[in-house]
Amino acid sequence: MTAEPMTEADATVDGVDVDKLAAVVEDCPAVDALVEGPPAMAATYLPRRRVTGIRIEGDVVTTQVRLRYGSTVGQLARQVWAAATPLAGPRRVDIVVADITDPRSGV
Amino acid sequence: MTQDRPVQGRPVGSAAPTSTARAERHLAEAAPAPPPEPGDPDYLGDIVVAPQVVAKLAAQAVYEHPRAGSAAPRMFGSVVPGAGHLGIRSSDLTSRPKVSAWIDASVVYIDMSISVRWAEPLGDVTEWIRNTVEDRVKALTGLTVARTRISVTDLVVDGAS
Repeated sequence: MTAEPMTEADATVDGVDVDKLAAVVEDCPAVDALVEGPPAMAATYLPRRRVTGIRIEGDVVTTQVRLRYGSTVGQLARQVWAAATPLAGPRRVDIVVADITDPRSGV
Repeated sequence: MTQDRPVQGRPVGSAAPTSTARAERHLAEAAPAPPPEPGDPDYLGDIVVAPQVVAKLAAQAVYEHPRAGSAAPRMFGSVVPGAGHLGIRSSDLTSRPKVSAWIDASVVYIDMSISVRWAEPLGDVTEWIRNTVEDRVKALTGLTVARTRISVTDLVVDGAS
């Protein structure tokens, strides 16, 4: 007996709902956006799509974000941990601050 | 769990010599506070700050100083004439300079090349920038600036070269 293939709507990886996790992290006031690329290269590949800034690997959930200018890394960490830890289960949540918004343009 | 947690990573080891007494004081303050270990109930995960974040914060500090700004790249010791027309960064007091940052555990080393308005005292300008960068990086990221190396590579007359 083989497992059912994943569909586009499936977003659960190792018991973690990646779409929901991405949504709660992006809703944090200190988070401007989830970002891809270096240094963590965090992304989750799902059927026909990709969720940037989230990676689930073993017992670690990695979130890679752009910090909103004016917020501190401490504030960001507290917000992300409060939002993401309930969804991550027993896994630890690593936070990678990959970028910061430009105070002039806001991006 | 609600307190500020130190940024975790590799042990600091032997830090490079610091440039100012302020930086030495910050280093001394940053030394204690061992991070929570895995298995500790307070341990929720690691925080990693990319060097680009620190570099942007430092560049913003220079941008906010009305007498300092970006510096044109130098070739054979001289500023490239007409650099702005070639799409290369030009000396401009209203734009951000090029800044590089290196992070070693919770300690940061910053290098930048800036221009300063002609006839301004360089010591005053660089001291303001160095103090602002150290304070802002510490406040926003929790990282300690061990060295801010500022190269004043151009002097600008009337706002632009």
